[in-house]
Amino acid sequence: MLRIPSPREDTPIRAQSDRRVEALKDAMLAEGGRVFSYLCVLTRGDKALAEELAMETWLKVFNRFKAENFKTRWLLFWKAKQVFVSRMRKATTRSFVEFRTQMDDLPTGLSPRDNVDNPSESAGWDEFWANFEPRTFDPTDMKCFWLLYRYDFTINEISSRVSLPESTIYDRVSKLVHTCRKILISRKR
Amino acid sequence: MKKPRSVELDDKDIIRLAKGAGTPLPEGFVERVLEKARKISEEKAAKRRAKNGR
Repeated sequence: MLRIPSPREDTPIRAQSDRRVEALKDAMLAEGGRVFSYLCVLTRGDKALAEELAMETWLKVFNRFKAENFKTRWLLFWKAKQVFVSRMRKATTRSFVEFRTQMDDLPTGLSPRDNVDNPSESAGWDEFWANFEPRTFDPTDMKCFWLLYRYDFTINEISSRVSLPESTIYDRVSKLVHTCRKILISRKR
Repeated sequence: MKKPRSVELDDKDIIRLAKGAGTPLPEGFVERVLEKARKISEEKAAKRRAKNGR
């Protein structure tokens, strides 16, 4: 009796794995920056550790995900967080307090307030809001959220900038964060 | 055996994404990952070939 091979059997193993590697490359070029920057914040700016964890994340994605899911954002962030949490659970030593005599030695944060009007900051803005496309938000809500969380402005300061009551800003930003999370975890892409 | 605690994305993760957005990938990162991925892929292919008796 003639046996018809399934498409999976028929495809040479080599070509199949090459396609997966290519798919991984595409996904890393498209989403690699997002995953790395997320891990940078999780590791509190430790770029060496973030790079190590990002590599571990992508290799796990390569090993366990289907090629068509390599670019699924919420899965990537979820996997990155899982890798980070697993590493922290395994860590036997904890970070300790550093004493400094000079205030100038203090490392600066990832996004100091001085950068608010820096043109290079627009890349971060675009990258972040692209996570929720095609959904759009109220520009004022977006601005309030960005000032509050990206640059650590106080609600009082934002209130004077956008001429809205503090309670309104708080409510609108909370709602926005909640909506963003829902969009991220509910959508496949 | 104790079941490992699950990890979920929460509102704070949205704030983390905003804080880090725009950080560029380290130089040569993609190539390093791809090199390792190819190795893993070759090992898997070798195992499959051995299993199929080829």
